Amino acid sequence: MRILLVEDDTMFGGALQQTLRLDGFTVDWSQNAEDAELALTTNEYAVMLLDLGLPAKSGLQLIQELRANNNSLPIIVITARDGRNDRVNGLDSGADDYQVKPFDPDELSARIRAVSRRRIGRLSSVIVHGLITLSPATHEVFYDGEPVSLTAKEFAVLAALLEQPGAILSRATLEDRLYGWGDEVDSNAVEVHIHNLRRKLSKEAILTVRGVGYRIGEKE
Amino acid sequence: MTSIKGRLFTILFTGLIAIIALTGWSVYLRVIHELDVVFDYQLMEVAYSASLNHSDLIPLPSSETTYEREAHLAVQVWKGKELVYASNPARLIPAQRQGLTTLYLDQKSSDKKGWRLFTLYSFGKMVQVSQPLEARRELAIKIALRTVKPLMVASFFLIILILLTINYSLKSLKRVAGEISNRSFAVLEPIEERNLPQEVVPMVECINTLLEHLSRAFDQQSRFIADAAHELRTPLATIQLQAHILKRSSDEEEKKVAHEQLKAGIERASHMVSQLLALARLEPEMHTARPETLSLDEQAQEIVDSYEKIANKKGVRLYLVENEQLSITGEAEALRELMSNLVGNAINYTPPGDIVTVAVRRMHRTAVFEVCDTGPGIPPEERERVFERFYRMKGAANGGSGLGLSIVKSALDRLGGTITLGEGYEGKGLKATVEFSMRPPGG
Repeated sequence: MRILLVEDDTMFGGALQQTLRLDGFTVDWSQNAEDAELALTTNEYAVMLLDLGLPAKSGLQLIQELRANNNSLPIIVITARDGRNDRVNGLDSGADDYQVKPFDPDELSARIRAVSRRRIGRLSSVIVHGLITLSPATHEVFYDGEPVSLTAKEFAVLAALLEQPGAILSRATLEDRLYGWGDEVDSNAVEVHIHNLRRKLSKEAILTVRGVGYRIGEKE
Repeated sequence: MTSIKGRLFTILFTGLIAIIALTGWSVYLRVIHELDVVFDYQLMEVAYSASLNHSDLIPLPSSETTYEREAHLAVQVWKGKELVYASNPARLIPAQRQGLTTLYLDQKSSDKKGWRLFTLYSFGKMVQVSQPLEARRELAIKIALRTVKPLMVASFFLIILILLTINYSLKSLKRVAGEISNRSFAVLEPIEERNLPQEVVPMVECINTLLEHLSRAFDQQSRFIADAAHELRTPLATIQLQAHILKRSSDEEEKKVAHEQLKAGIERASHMVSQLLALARLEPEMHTARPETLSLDEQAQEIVDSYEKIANKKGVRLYLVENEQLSITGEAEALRELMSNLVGNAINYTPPGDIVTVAVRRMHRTAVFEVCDTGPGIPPEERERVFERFYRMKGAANGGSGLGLSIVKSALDRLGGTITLGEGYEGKGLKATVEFSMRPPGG
């Protein structure tokens, strides 16, 4: 899952990016609203984490502009202001959730998963597809009831495919979800992950659509 | 506790009572004295009329008249040894010489049984009119008291008038007192100054000024506390995340990096806390240290020495280019905070390999402390705002508390100096010039 983090504090932003990466998210980090707008036009994100106290254009302004342009990107506001008015203003101007500093990193990850789940209209936090069960919260995957050990990238590929069963995701799309700015991408990285997933699950778990991309296999 | 109302009332009341009593007493004595004369005159009048008309007009005066009864007048008319007439036969008085006399029949009980009489010899008759002294006194007292009575009634009304006036005049004071007692930390509005007596206005004005100061200080404090809490949240959140990363990092190398980051996070948080404390200590309300003679050159040397290591670590060259022996008066801590924040800031914003210079020099009649760096500088339009608490310039390097220059300003307020921000060497970086008025030589 690719996330846009908008936070002006260097030390906090760095630590948050690192924490979210440990939880398997792909995180792009902008330090001001203007850079964030640019990032939103060039990439597709599942969730935006937004600090309200930004230099120049404020976070609230950014939310209002996005919503005015009919952008429905889920936004979680992260701020040090915990006054009731701040929370109400943030939510009323179009934010989906709110997290006050300091916070428990696991809670933030859970909130990110929750808002992205709501966006695609899924009710349960666990995705079940045939014999495959994937739990985004615990990063666990079961195949036919047996736990399967996956790397973070393999997990991300499988999650991306499972989120929209039947949809065909191109190699570029998958790369886009897996790698943030500045990440090194091998030309055949996605192929390697797919190969490993087939080996760990089953040959029919992921299907290749020639010339287009990949999709999740039929329910077995 | 003295009450204006109580005091006014006591003074006016006792004064009034004393004056009324004195006046009443003197009127009383005067009336009694005057009545004595009137009574004597009356005796004479009765005697003359009796001597003229005794046989035809008798009985005279009638024993029925109230006045006579009240005045206890008795008339005797003698012709030689013969009693011709006696209005009161029970009261026979021996013959006296002509004129007014006071006669005591019973010598022992003095004036109790005394008489005042007038004896008149005319046409071979002797007319004696007598009046008991006791009756005279009783009558006199009765009349005198009747004279004084209106005075008593008047004084009663006067007292009521005084009470009402005092109450009415003190009403506005009472209102002000009520308004003051309604004030609290939450309600520090000024007291209404309209409709107040002239005498109370200055007091209310003073109280309003005080309230205004209090309200401003209180606002500032609560804003500062809110800001401080807010500013501490980010460093604390950072530490929390860094601790989380440390816990989850698997190999030694990752652990080492995470550990370093955590350390930096804690350093930033503790720097923020110590800056907050420094600012709190420099608050105008906190007058703890006594002003003393401070040596600018020694303090500058000490600060430069203490920052040498930090500068070296960053690769910034820190020089004390000029250090004249100068002293000022003030609090040592304020001067230390001032210098260390200016020098620390300069090192912070100067890129590695560049220079920071510090100088202490005399300029006309002022002592100057100057720090020059080659960092990004501060654009002229921001040179006022940078002294605000928690103000950080756009695009400024992170990690600062946003309090450094506020501390400098508070310290300057205590030391009584001025600061000017300008451009550094060759229009690059920042030059902070602090000017102090110098201690008079030998002082």
